[in-house]
Amino acid sequence: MKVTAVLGSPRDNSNSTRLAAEAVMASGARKEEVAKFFLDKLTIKGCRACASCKTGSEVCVINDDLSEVLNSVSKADFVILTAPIYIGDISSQQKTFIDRSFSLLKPDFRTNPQPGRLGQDRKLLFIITQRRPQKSFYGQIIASYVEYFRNMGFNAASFIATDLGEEDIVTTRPELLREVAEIVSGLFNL
Amino acid sequence: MKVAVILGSPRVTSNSTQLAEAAVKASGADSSEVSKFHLNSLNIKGCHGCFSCKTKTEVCVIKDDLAKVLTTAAQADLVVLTAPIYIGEITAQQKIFIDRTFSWFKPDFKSNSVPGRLSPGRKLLFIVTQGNPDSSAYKKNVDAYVGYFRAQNFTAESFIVAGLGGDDVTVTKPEAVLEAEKAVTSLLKS
Repeated sequence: MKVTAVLGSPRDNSNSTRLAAEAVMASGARKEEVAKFFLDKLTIKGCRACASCKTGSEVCVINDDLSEVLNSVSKADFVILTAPIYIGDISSQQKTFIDRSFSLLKPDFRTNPQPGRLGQDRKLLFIITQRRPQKSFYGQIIASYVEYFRNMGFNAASFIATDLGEEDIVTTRPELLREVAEIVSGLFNL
Repeated sequence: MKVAVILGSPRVTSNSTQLAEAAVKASGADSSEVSKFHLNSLNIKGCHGCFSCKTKTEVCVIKDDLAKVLTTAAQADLVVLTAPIYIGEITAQQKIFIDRTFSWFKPDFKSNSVPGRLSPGRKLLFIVTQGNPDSSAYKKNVDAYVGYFRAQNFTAESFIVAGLGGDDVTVTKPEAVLEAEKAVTSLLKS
């Protein structure tokens, strides 16, 4: 099983990155089948709304480090996206990826019952971390992203880890690691 | 009156950019005092989460094209931000700028009753455009950003134009142009 993890936190040992590692482990994928992309270290541009991906090109025409990420995502059986909440929404690094993922939609995405280019049998997990204790605070925003990936054809789920600061969740919040593993098992009916 | 215009749309002649131009014109500012930044044309990185701006420096330490945007906006009397809605949220380009404005917060921003470093008395208008015809669809998100900029000592307001497509709001929704002008003049009077 090919797994692609697209990591939206700029911090090396962040909570969201640790949760992604747990999700990868829970998937049971072999190491050589796992690709991880740390977006903050890459040179990436936002979507420029040129509509090339809808008018002739099957892929995004921007040539930057995100091209390889999109290519890896398009071949993955399981995609893991992570982002901390920064100022009310996901980090800009992850929003950059998500805007560019618009290229994974077909030209007739507005009317086609299967608008995504990647088929219908891939899985996606969106892991969000936030300082606030209430899951519902950004719940609508995250639900909207999950809905976007579902429309694209993914069997998509989200996991919101709340009440987080700088701590090491392996020692202070081990239940979060168990929860994310359970969600992955649920996605794959393991 | 110094004006800083920070354009979040990648499209040079976009609707949001045209609305910003109408707003700037209505402000009466001299063109020599207006600075425009087309974010998609710049080399900009997202917030690194390094907390240097809270532990070592008074400004963001990242040296890229956004450094000048941040200092210009910090010295402006009127800041005009624009963004279309892409995939349920403001563009990555504008989110990059907003994440980096975290550097405007003081080290003790969580407990300080005046958390922002910038001197008060400045105005900010956030112009958001969207294809979705329901103008309330993303109002909560936009209101959250306005609240954030108020915490940064701005007198801040937003202006959402819904149901847009194509390229020329001055033709398809001329009333929106008038409203943008009104939004600025009323903001400047407040």
